[in-house]
Amino acid sequence: MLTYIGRRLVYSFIMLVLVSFVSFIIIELPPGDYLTQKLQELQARGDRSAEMRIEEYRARYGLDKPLMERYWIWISNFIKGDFGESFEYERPVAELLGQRLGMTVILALSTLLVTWVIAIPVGVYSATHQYSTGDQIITTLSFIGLGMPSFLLALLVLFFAVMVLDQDIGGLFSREFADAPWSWAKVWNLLKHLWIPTLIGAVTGTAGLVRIMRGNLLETLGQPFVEAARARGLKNRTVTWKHAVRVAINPLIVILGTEAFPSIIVGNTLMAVVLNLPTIGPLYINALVGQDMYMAGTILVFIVGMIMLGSLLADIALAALDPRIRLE
Amino acid sequence: MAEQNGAAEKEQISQSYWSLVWWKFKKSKTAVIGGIVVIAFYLFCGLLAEFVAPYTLQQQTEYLEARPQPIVFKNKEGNFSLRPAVYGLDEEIDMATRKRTYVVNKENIYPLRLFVRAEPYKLFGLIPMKIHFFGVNPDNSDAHVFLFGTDRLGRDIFSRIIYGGRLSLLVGLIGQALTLILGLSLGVISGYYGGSVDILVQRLTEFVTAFPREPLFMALAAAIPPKWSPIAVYFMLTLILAFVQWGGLARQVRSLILSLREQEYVLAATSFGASDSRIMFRHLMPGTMSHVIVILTLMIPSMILSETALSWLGLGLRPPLTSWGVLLQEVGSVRAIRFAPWLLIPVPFVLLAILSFNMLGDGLRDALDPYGGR
Amino acid sequence: MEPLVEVKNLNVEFDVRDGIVHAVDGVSFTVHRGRTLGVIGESGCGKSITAKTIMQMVPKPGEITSGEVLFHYRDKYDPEGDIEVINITNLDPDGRRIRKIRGGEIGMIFQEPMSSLTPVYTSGTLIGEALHLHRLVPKTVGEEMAQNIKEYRHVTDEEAREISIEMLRKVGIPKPEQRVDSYAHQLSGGQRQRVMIAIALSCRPAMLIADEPTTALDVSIEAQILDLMADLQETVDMAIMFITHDLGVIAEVADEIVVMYMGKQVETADATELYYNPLHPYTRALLKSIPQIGKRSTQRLASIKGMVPDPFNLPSGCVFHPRCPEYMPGKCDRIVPKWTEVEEGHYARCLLYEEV
Repeated sequence: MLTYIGRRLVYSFIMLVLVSFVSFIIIELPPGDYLTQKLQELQARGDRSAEMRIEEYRARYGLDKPLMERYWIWISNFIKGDFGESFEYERPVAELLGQRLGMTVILALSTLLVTWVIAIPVGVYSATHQYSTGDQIITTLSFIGLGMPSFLLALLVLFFAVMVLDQDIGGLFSREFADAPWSWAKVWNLLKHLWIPTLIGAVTGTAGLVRIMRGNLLETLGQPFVEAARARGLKNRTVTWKHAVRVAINPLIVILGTEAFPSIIVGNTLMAVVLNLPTIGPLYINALVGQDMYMAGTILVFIVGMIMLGSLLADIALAALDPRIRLE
Repeated sequence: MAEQNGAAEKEQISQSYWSLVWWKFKKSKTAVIGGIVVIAFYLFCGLLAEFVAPYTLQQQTEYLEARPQPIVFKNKEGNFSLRPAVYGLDEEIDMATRKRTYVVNKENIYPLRLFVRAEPYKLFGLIPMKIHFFGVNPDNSDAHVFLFGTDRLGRDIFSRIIYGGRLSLLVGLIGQALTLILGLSLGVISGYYGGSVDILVQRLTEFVTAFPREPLFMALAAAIPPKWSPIAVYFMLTLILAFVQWGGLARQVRSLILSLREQEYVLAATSFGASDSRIMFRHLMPGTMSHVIVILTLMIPSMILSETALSWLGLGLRPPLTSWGVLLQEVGSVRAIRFAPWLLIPVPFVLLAILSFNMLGDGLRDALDPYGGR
Repeated sequence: MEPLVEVKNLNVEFDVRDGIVHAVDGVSFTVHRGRTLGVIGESGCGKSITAKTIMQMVPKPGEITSGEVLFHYRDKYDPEGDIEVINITNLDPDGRRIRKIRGGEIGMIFQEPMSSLTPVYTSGTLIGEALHLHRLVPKTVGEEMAQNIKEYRHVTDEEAREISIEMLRKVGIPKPEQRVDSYAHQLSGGQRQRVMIAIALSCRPAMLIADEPTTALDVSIEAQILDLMADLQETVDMAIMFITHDLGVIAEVADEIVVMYMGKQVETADATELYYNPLHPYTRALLKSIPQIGKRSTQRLASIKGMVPDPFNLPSGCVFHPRCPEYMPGKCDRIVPKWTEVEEGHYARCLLYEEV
């Protein structure tokens, strides 16, 4: 068990190093980025202070050093919590990110929770009532939901809210709470706004998970141990939940970590742009569009990091739940 | 004797594999509908966009952000007629918002006609033509037909959606072709050689698939130099999409090859002294074809979506290239949704395309695996 | 001999898309207390379905169309009580009555020991699950160990664990104190089947249904499991319904044998009678196909010609006629043979023994 987690940790660490390197390449890639432009501007000014600024930047980012060295400077600063400067906002990236990271995690977790809470019972119902009308409706809906990208769905919901309800549903807070310090009223205000992006973000994941749950459970229900459990005199409901679902759910935990959670994070990135949410999504897009590359690279590392953390947690959860993996 | 019969039977079975697939495919109504819609999309948007659309892509009219005209079944005198027609639009200034809007003028009725002569174009880029599938009387310069309204520059949205579909759908096809080349060859090589080659390719695949696709290609797309021509951007974009997508295909092909490698016919080919490349491309690859087709079909929607998302965010295609994503750039704000909601009409088209590809792919999967369970 | 389970003219049909399959077609037999009934037939002949019908566990979309399964119920905690005859086919498949019988009165072990144990639970948990449902222990009030106390209570968790270890020891699992905490994947195939037997016997059922319990096991393990079942039967006075496709196995264990073919019962007799005087051509063919030690190997092993017919297109008349060595043209393909008592206690379904 411990060696298993240890192995996973080492593996994640290697991946993270590789990912950070790729992110750094991406930071360096665009020829017309903010830093280059800024240096050009400063050079054009040509005065004393401009030259000093240029020197400062050169030292800070190691501009005249070779690639690997520049990477080393960047990554060591990164580990210290210095992610560089957003040239667009002219503020440190860490500061801008800090405000939004919490909201991103809250949104992702609430989406995940909703996905899980809806998908499992619905999938179980669908499998235990195979070919019934309810099952057919669920199968059709999940099929449509699977192809429903959250940002387009958000656009449609926004359209509905604006045209029919005449309301703006964007954001996570009402205007008076946006910059207010935390209070119970603010939390309540958050919850009142949170459910819309949560539900929209959960559609694709729920649809996928329902399909997988249904398939897994159907397969599990055909296994001899289910019949054996019934032959022991257990109630059908007990057989389904205690034996079949308990076994069928294990692969779902892996899918949760490797597919559902990443797609929630990514899907929310795009949806957040539509609904104007204070998460890292819009920040990332803005940074990319504006070629504010230190910001973009940092967020990319954070997105990947979050996803890896999710899959690591899922693996640990699976090991805890499945003796076949735990005792290997 | 009995053995001969058996061999003949086997022959029959293998011959009827594709007819069995076709039979199973036909049985699934959703798959057939999906297939028809996909074909219709490629036909009308891909091949015949110029003919189907009443206006050309960049043709500007004097109606700016005009609302869609409702279709009615009336003739010029206002009596019922089987020939559909549209009401004319009149310009009006909304005094409160100081904004130009259009109101439907029920006095002016423009009957729709088939095969009208309008703007010249070149069919398939070759044949010069003037005839459009439908339109209004070209001799009446006031007549106009905007089924889905117009945009800020007075361009007909219906026509632009038809044209936009061409690029959006093509991204899927070209991107899949590249994915196919990358994923299939790497998968086959990795599965066939095994050993250190396999480990190398596997690690590479793992790395590519571990990276979250969308943020990665957004970043890569953002790195495309803005000075490039739109066409170059388009191809770069497809390349990027294929580059982030091939991992899944390679992995599945690899595991298929691993099981195929041990089959008798491959062993026989090896013992005849067939070369590695011959075994890989003549004997192993065909065996993976049905799976590959299914995987590719099911991947196209995510390609289309990715392009749409990128272009919508301003990271992908740029005007004058027009795709569904580019069309959606116009609806960035709540204001746009409030005052020109018809700009959202490309959304249902994207969803329809995705849904039909999914339906087609799902049906193909069931059909190509006729002995499989669910 | 006291009857325990009587199956009377049982019919089970499966309504699938391609037609209706008569999985069980007019089967009748009786299992007696403490005795062993063997059911033999090729795979797909309906023997497993028959067994599941006795448990009222017919898999979907199967349906019992006629016939009855009578269970002679006697409360095992009240040996003087009356016998109550329950028609199992009338019980609600998920109701209280049948759930008391399943596991409590009739235990069952299956063909695939590999996947018959839920992989996420230990063998102790699985045995305990059955114990909590069916096993009762006497309520002792203080030190009064009265002989005729008739009050019982459910087992506690500690008692369940003790009984589990005891059961595992009984079925011959080494180090039962440790194995009680083992998961299925930590046990060998033979051990898993032993755990299955332990689960089935832990609640002292009146009957054990063994559905090809040794098919998936090695021959040496098979012999051990068969010995174990025979030993246990002697000590706990339990009836066994033994289902197999292997005549060699059934010869060792059964007192009475039912032969099935394509959902129909073709012959029933005492085990020795059936071996020395088989009546139905199918039974004879089966017996001939057993390899025998000592015989000259120049003689080829007999096989039954032809293939098992398509269940949707059963042959007319006697279903066995296309493969029968004693096929009588004009008779066997036209007339459906009746269930006839040819000799006392020896039944067959064949036109050779009918006046037509």
